[in-house]
Formats: sequence, C-alpha cells, structure tokens
Amino acid sequence: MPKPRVDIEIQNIVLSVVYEGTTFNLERLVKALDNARYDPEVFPGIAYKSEDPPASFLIFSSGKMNCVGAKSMRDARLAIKKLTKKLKKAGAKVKSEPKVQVQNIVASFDFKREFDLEQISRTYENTEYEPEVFPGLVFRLEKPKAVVLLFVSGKGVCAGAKTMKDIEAAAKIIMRTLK
Amino acid sequence: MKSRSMEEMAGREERGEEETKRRNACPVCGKSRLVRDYEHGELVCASCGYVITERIVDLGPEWRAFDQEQRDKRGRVGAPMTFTIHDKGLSTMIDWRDRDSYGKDLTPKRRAQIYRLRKWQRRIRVSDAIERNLAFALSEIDRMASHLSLPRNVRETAAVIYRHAVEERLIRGRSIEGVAGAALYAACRECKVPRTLDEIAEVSRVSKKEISRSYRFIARELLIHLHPTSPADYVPRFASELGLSGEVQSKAIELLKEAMKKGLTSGRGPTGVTAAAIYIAASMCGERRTQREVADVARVTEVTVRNRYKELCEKLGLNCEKLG
Repeated sequence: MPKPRVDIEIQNIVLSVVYEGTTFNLERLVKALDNARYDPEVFPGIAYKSEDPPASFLIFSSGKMNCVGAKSMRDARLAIKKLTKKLKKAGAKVKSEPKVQVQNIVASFDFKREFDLEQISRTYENTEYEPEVFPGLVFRLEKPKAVVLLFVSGKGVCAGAKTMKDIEAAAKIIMRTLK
Repeated sequence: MKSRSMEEMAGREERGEEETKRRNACPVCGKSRLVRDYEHGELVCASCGYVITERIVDLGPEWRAFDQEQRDKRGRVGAPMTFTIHDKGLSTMIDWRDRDSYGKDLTPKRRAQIYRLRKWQRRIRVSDAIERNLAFALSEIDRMASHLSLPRNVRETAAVIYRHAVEERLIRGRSIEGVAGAALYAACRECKVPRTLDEIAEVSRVSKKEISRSYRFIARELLIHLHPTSPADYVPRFASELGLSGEVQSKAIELLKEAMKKGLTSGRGPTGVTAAAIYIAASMCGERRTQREVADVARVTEVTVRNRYKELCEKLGLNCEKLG
C-alpha cells in the first residue's frame, strides 16, 4: 500500500495559559501593551494581538490567558514567551514559567480524491450528513476524539484534536475506512 | 371497526410465535398469502383456494348503524389508541347520555351532578407538569402537521419520536417547540414524504436553526440514522405545485436517477437539485416554467437553480441551448 497521500495543514491552535499564583492589574497592563484592547463593560479581559508570530490573546485578571491563531506549536510557544517577557516588564508579578495546555488543534486535509458523501453516511453510523443544512459530512471519531468534516471536493477539516499525533491518526483512519 | 383493531392487536400478542407461523401459512400449498373473507367468515388461501378456517369470529360490533348519528348513539368505545394524544387516547370519559345503568333517565338534580363530574373528569385528564408538557408538544405537532397537511401516519411517527425523546430525558434544556418541530421533520423523512426544514420552520413558532439543532441532537441520541433525503422524493410535490404533468415528473425522476449515479447530488442541497431537474424536464416536455417559479416552490434561489441546471446539463450531456 502506498503511503497515504494526504495534505495536512495546521490552521489554528488554541491553548490555555495559566500563571500560577498571579493576578493581573488589567488597567495597568493595557497601557504597557500596544495592540491591546480592554473594555470591561464589553468583555472582562484584555484582547491582545501579537504581530510576530501572529497570535491573539485574551488576558484575564485571574492570571489566566487564552492563546488562539497560532499556526504551529513553535509559533505558539514563542508568542507566549514574548508576551510573558512583556508582562514582566509591565510590572506583573510573574514568578514561574506559565502552565500551557493545548485545548484544540484545527487542521485542513486534502485527500486528493472525491467523496461520495451519501454512500459514506449510509455505511457508517457515526456520521451526520444533512445536505439541506450543510454541504459537508460530519465524521465523529472515537479514538482519537476528534471530528472531521468531509466535503465532496475531497477536502476536509479536522477539529477537536489535542495533539499533532491525533490529527495524523485521524487522517489515517479516514484514509483507511474510506478506501 | 375501531374496537376490532384494538382486540386484534391484543390477541396477536397472546398467541405464541409458533402459532402465528402455522396460521400464516397454508397447510396445503405452504404459501403465506391468506385472505380473511369476512362475508363468509372464512380464512382462505389466496394461491390455492383452500379454506383453512370456517366461521371465524367476527370481532366487529354486534350492532348495525346506517349513518353517523346512529353510530354515535350505539358505539360504546372511544377512538383507537393513538400516540398523538398524551394519554394515548386511553382515558375514561363519562358519557353524554343522562341515564343510569338500568337505562332510566336521571333526576334533574343527579343530572346536574353528573354534568359537573363530567367536566372535572375532562379537566383532570392532564395530571402533572410532565403530562401537560407532553400534551402541549403533541398538540403542537398536530397543529404543524395540519398546516402542512401531513397524513396520519406521519403524525403518529412524530409523536412516537417525541415520546422517545421524553423518555430519554432529551427535552431538558431545549424548547418544546424546537423538539416537536425536529420530531416532525424526522417523521416526514422516515415516512418518505420529506418536508424541508424551511417549510417546518414556517409553521413552527421557532427558527429553522433551533429546529435543525434539536433534530441533530435527537437524531444522535435516539440513534435515528436516516438516509439523506433523495431529491426524487421532492419531485411530485414541487411538480404538482407548479401544475406540471406526470410526464414531466417521470422525466425529472429519470434525470435525477442518472445524476445520482454520476454522483452529482452528493454534497448539494436536495431541493436545489430537484428544482433544476424539474426545470429541465419541464422545458423538454414543452411545459416551460421560469427559473424564478421553480426556485420559489423549492424555496431556493434562482442562482442555485441556474448552477445546478448547468451542472446537470454538462454532466448528463444535454444541450442547454436547445432547452433555454
């Protein structure tokens, strides 16, 4: 069997970042960060966009952050490192390294073939296909726990994976089941 | 009529499986095409003509009625059991005849009392909140079904689906109207008389989004795995709404079958594909309808019709110039 010919491209990584034992003074932080928006009446956290590497952060007064928009793990780590430095400079009492946890990885697939979605939905139980509502087919995988959207064009989107391995495994499972 | 179907149902359960097997096959030729001849009271094999049982018991009413009025007067049973009523139609009612068990008229004082009792008997049919919700949901299903003029079997199916959802505690945190709409949508598809989500949303009190969300949820939880609606199922309805002949319908279905074989329907809204097929078929048969008219009955945009039309023409090797 030839190696599965599948193009995988990471589109987005969502991480949660926790600075333990720290709380932030958001009013002060906002002034120290450029490209940051803080409007407590609309949203209780700071929205910050870092330029290089591109990523967006939501910073909360509890010492927790969300990081979205990074295209690779390296970019995400780097962006968090840079931001931590800036926070320290702005006077936040960051003692230890932040705890980082991956929440979600979104990737796009290209299987280089066409799918017959109707037939897939007929043969597999763990699928959802409602052409009236959405043209894609939702394939729910148990292991790894991820959801893959498949389209007629042979492309797909995988969401809900927590590691790169999960994504590769998901692509492999789809390749194998939909021979 | 009504009482017979009920008793038959009960009787069927009591009889053993073996018994039924024996009864369902002709002892002479072994075929299972048996016919009950009520006129002669016989059970006859339809293929060889052997009379299996004579003098079968007539489970119908022992009285005769010649019009609806007499039927009402003589009937002692209620409507057949149905899932579309919250107590399955199996509640007790105090009848409207003001007579005691001897058949004598009641005294005026008694009559007033019975009148009050009757009223309360009706009122306490719905005992608690769960039942009240069920009654509301089922009447909602019935209301929507009436608006869409859906047949009895669809209503029953929808009611059964909704009851399942209640049993599995899936209604919690969702709106009754949403789940009722979803149950009706699922029932329509199961009975092969599909209605689009748009049509159900129109007669419902909630949005299409709410209904589709509820539908996806109950379909997943109740393991209802329906095949995606086939565009061909929509053809008769759309065609008759456009006043097109049967010829056009069969042509459209033919086109759709061809398209399905070539995988042109996958990943596309069934209504759009149907609209395009009807448009082409109508043009071919000289009963041309505008794209606008076709789009309106299918509840899609003209652009969709146009795109699907082009696709179909190209892939099926039809000459669009000649049609247009």
